[in-house]
Amino acid sequence: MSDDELTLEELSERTGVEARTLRSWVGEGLLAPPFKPGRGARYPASNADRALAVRALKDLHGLSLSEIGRRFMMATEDQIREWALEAGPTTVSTGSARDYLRRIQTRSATEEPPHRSMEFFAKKAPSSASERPSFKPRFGKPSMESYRRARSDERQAELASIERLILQLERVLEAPAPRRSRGTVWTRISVTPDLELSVRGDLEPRERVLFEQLADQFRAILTGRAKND
Amino acid sequence: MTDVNFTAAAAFDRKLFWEDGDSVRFLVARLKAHRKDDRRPAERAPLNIALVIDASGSMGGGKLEAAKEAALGLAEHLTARDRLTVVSFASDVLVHLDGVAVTTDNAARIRSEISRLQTRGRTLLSGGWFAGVECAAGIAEEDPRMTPHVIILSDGHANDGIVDPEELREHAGELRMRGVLTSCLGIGDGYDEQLLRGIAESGGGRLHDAELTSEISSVLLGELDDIFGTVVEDAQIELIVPTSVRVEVLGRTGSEIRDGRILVPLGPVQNDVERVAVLKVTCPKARLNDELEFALIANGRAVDDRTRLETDTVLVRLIAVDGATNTDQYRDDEIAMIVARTWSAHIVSTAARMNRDAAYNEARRYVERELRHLCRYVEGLDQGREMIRELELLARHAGRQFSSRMRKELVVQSSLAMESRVDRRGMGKAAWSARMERGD
Repeated sequence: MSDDELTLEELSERTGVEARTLRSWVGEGLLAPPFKPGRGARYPASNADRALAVRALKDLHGLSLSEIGRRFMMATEDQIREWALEAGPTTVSTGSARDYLRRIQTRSATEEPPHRSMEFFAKKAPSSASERPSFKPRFGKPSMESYRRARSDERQAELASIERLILQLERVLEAPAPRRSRGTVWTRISVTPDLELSVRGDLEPRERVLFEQLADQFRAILTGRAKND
Repeated sequence: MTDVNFTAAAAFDRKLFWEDGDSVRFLVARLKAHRKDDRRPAERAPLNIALVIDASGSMGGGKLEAAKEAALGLAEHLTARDRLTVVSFASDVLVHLDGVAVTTDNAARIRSEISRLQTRGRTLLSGGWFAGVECAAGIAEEDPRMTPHVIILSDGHANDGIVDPEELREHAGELRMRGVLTSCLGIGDGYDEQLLRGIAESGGGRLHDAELTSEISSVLLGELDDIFGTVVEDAQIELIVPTSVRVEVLGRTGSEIRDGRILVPLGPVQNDVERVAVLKVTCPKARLNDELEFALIANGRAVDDRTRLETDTVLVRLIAVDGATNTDQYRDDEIAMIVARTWSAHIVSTAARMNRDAAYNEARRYVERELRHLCRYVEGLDQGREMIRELELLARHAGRQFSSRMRKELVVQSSLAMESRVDRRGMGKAAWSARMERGD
């Protein structure tokens, strides 16, 4: 047995992450797959750092798994180790449920915050709003704004990395490549894990919703779940 | 000082294993909680309940109206000491009641706000759930005795916000560790039983099913009864096992191994209702008379005063013997019956999951393989023959797609069996095997 290889249980013990969750992270491409699948499968030991890094980026930075996947694609092994160190001890730290929710809320910043019912019905019954002054939305804006600022900084850093990559490629080719490529905006909507709907153009929100509904119909037909919501 | 007697027991079905290795033994862990004095309902701990109601388009056709009636019925069973949150979700999330005290003065407002719920849009389950948690957790921060009980009522699949079942299950576990308990009530045939089961099991709550709109009220009140009857919340078994054995937990999702300990969350424990966990242990090769020692301890939180409870440590051993002694050994049939019931329920729920993932051939092969082992195991047990007959029926049908209702019956009935719970839909519901026989 090599020190460079770990079972899923050993990985779980080292990282404090449930085996089942580790398995789903392998499925998401965040961790390397086993050397050989099946019972007692063994994984590269470097997965321990990667799992801790996922924990840190998810729990401390509030990133979604897809965002973490993007970070990993650009990151060096040293960078992943640095994130792993942030994860701290393997025992689960329990803050309050609302603190936990706040971190989740920053991940899904595109979701609208919940409305109080009187706000929603205010158009129909304007007087009801004044009757319940105690209701205050708890999902305030500051966290959204700081999240967007952070996202903007990250995007700038990623663009700088791409610029550096272009310069390196130019050095390989010893000259800039002829400028022919033109970017086109496509909206990709996943139908099933193996099938997606791609629509050329930057869609208006209403158009996007219509295509998403179309994708839902395709999914329902393909999976035979037409009655599901 | 808590007045709950919280105890754990553990026993193997057989106490000896073959020295040449690969013997399979089943360890049954049993948890019980007993309230020392029979208090009257009026003296129960105050409740902090958040109802998170799906108001997506598919809840039309009477389902939402029935859910509203159920919510009103539940409110009538609460008292001025209790707090009620009501949230509805569709493409958006609406907080109708934010931890309102269920006083006579507030009755009209509660009725009016619940009556306002209307169907609209898609299924932003995560958004609705988190809004309900936010409200109820806010109450608990002010008064730690008010454990948040969030109940999600949904008839559909999460298709907006966070939709990954694994991610939602993970959030349920994280919230449970922070004191928020989540139960789920699936309505009709279209909901995602695996998603709701994952949330309920990891969330320290219960999965309920209302096949018919008319059952929503009784099932929701049943959940309230389950909450009233709970004396220990968030119970968990910790097992320290020798490193040389392989252990599989039957029928429970969310078990994990941490620092050499196996942790099995069991959720709520009701007064005098025994909860069991069954662990399948594969033994290593050993020398004659070698002993394998297993230490088991359980912990949980008393509902009445929120003190942490811990049982005494229970030690059980397996001893390595030669082949002949191993074959001739005594089997504890009471323990074996618990193993058989849990194993059977585990097979049923696993086959339902595979069928839902369209892995029909794998499901059939899995049931057939498990059936071969279980057939030998149940020899001599009273209900063994009936158990095998049901699983043979399952094996014959597992290679084709089950109806959505059949999958729900398989998952819900196996959960009820494993958690020693009552079917809150009523006694008249047909067993999944009877439904399968009549071709449902």
